[in-house]
Amino acid sequence: MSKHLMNRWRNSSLLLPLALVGVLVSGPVQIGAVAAEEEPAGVDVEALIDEVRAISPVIAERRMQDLRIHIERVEETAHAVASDPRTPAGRAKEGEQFCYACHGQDFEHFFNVGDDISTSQANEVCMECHRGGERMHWYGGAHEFQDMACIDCHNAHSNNKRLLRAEDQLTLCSNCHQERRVDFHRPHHHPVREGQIECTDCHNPHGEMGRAQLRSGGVNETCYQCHAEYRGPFLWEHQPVREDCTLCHNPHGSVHPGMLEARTAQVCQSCHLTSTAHPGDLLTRHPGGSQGEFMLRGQSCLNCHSQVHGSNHPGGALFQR
Amino acid sequence: MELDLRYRGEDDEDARYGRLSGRDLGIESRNLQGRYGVQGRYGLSIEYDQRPRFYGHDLRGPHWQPDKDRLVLPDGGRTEDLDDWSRTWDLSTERRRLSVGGQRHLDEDWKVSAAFSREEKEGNRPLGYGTWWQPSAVQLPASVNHRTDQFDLTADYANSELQAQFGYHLSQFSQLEGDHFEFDDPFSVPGFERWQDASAQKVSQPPDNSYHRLHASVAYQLQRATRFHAQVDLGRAQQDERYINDPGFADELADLSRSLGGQIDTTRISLRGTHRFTPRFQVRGGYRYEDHDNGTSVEEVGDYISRVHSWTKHAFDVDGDIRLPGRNNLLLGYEFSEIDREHADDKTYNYAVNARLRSQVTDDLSGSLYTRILARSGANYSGPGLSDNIQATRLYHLADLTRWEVGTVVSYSVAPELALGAEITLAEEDYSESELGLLASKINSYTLTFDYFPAEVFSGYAFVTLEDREREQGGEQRALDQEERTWTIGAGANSVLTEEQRLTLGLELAYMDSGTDIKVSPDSGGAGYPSLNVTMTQLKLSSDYEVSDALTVGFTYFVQRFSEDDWSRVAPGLDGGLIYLGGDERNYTAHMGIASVSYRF
Repeated sequence: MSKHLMNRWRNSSLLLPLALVGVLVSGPVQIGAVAAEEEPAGVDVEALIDEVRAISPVIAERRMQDLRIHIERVEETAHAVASDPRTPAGRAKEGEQFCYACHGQDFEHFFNVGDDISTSQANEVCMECHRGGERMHWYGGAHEFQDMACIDCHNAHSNNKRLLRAEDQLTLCSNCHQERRVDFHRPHHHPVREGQIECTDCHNPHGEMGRAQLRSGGVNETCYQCHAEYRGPFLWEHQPVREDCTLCHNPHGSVHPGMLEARTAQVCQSCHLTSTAHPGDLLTRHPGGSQGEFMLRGQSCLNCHSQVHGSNHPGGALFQR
Repeated sequence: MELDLRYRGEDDEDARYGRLSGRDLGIESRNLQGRYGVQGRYGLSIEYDQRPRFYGHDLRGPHWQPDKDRLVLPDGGRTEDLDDWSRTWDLSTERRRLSVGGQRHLDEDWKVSAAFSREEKEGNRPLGYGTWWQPSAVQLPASVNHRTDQFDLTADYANSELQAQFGYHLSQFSQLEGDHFEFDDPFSVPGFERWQDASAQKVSQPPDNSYHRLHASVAYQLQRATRFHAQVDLGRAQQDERYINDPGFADELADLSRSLGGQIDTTRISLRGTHRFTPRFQVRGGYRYEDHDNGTSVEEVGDYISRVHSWTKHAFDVDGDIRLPGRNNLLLGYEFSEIDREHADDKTYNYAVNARLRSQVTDDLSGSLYTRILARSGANYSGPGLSDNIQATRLYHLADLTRWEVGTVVSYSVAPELALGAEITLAEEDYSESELGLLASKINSYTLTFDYFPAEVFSGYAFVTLEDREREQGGEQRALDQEERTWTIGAGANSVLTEEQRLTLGLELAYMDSGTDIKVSPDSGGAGYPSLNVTMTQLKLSSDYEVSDALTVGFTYFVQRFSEDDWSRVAPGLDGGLIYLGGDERNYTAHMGIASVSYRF
């Protein structure tokens, strides 16, 4: 048995499991992917194992149990629903193994990218059926253009939600975006680790036309999905707030309250410095006046300027009411 | 407590599915989801979600709340006797959202979907009110009570060459308690006299607003190697609520019309093309137009002019992906953007280049190295000033900037079962022309990972990350340096035990330690800024046992230890002219247990 073939099976059955025929983000597929009671119609697991044995008798014997689980798992996914004519099982002819729909006739490949298939070819297998909806901007998107494959994130043989390679999105995404995992371990963070928000609530990993693959077109529109009270417009507007929430906030997490980039005083004084005896000014020495202590306690500058996101009060020019 | 009921029924005609899942964390956090449908035909969904946010328990303040939009001081109370006249407050808000949705596959190519959600947020949060003359300020337990309704209607089309999506989005924000809340101002009484003479003040609540968005996207495969993408996005945000009717600002109200009539129109047009010239060379080019047209009228109110901000952005980018010999890729990119802001004396121009080399050096060693350099030609703020305080500095989002970033990611398979990884990111921003305000910032991050999976029945991982952040700010007489260092360490393992592989055990351990030092120089005149320290340790143990082929039981135990030293938290009461509600000293240990039963019918 060649090392190459051994790797094919090791990867395909354990480390880099078999390919994805995409993922539908809508409800039906999530549900369909979770349960199957009956022995799948039209698929003979033992026959498939025999077929693998013919390709690789050593692997088939050594990893028989893994292989059986691996094959059986796909039967529990939406791809195995024969009554849906869109699925590999629904498209398979009578008595034909639907595995071939993705793996090619007689197992041409096992989705070992770089060995038996290229990234583009592997993605084409998935995109043949899943090129619409959220994936319509996949080509040229941030992930596709960096030569990522669908199977880097999904596994058609997974029993996870949306056929993900990991149990949850944070685990999966932080495989590459390590710093984000750290951000969500900060004391002030969006509740992603708690499972109340997912990465895909804001980002579309399958590709968007705008910045950071955000779903709603822009940064602020994304934030307003949950924080519509800050949308305005207001009588008294705050220019950077109107322009980009991330000028002050780190939306993933921070050690500073309010998920600010720094303490409130530092954030405000990145722009606002006075030459008068303002009691909150930390960076200006006022003879006999405050040395900024006032603004470092409680809510800092917000002790007085509590309406920095905008105010509709006729006396709210300084965001105090 | 978790619930997960799944149903699937399949025959020759259709495949029905259903799922009811829920979770109650026991801290007012609940989620319940239900789905039903026929795969490939239609699907229905409903979800209820409840999320709390806690601001503090056992806080103390002098105000009482006879109704949601009014805070009063007790008659007879005095600031001098604040402790005797304060009551306790538990401040928290809660979001409750109900959403329903459905989708219908009209034929092989068309799908329509609709969704509606209503979210209400209610509770109290701390909010400051003050004046700078004395200085004096008071923290208030301000009420929060509002609703956001959202509706989406989308039609999707997809065939092998053409994919399209058309949609409409509506978001309606409604304030449920009126446009303001009123409170007695304890500092309106001279000295420490009785509060019964205190005058009432009004603070605005966010006004009702609405947002409509029409969007259309098209992706078309012109030929086998060429694709074209386009997206048009039209948004309109509106707000036309009456101004707060505050008799104390009669003169300002006289300067204003009855209501704002505010409107912001957003237009986004994005175009992108990709072409693969050869199997080894692919090019992508894009253009984005973004216009925020704030049509709200400019108001002159007393000494101030309202700051109605509009801007237009054009951005171009071009990238090349070159597949080098072996399994190596080189990506090169250039991006240019121009932003024309209404309140800036010039346009700002951003020029960025980036490069990334991805390499599979051997079967076992892979990685990437990337860099990005951005140069901004900045501008000065030119809009109406609040006072003198923003004229003296170049606002950092407008200012001249040089930003560079370098990073590398490496993965090495020591053995088929063992992989090591490393990631390093170094980024620095230099606001070269700025003399005041934000002058520079730096982020250095170092991560090591370890993954071990000797068999399908066992897997383990560990990671350690060190992140250093620095921030330099300048003032007229002083400068500020902030250094923030955060260690994050995590480890976990999953193992299937017993010969029949019926018992699965899992372990996750996470530790975070963060320290922030703020130095103000020269001498801050007695104001000390001790380190801000946050430490968090958490452990999660889980087990699942397959009693039979149909029945699985599980138990998860979670414990979190959290401690924080923060000088911004002060005890409730009067301190230096500010009446604080106080804040919880966040030093706790939390335990949680989750039991689960799964049965397959």
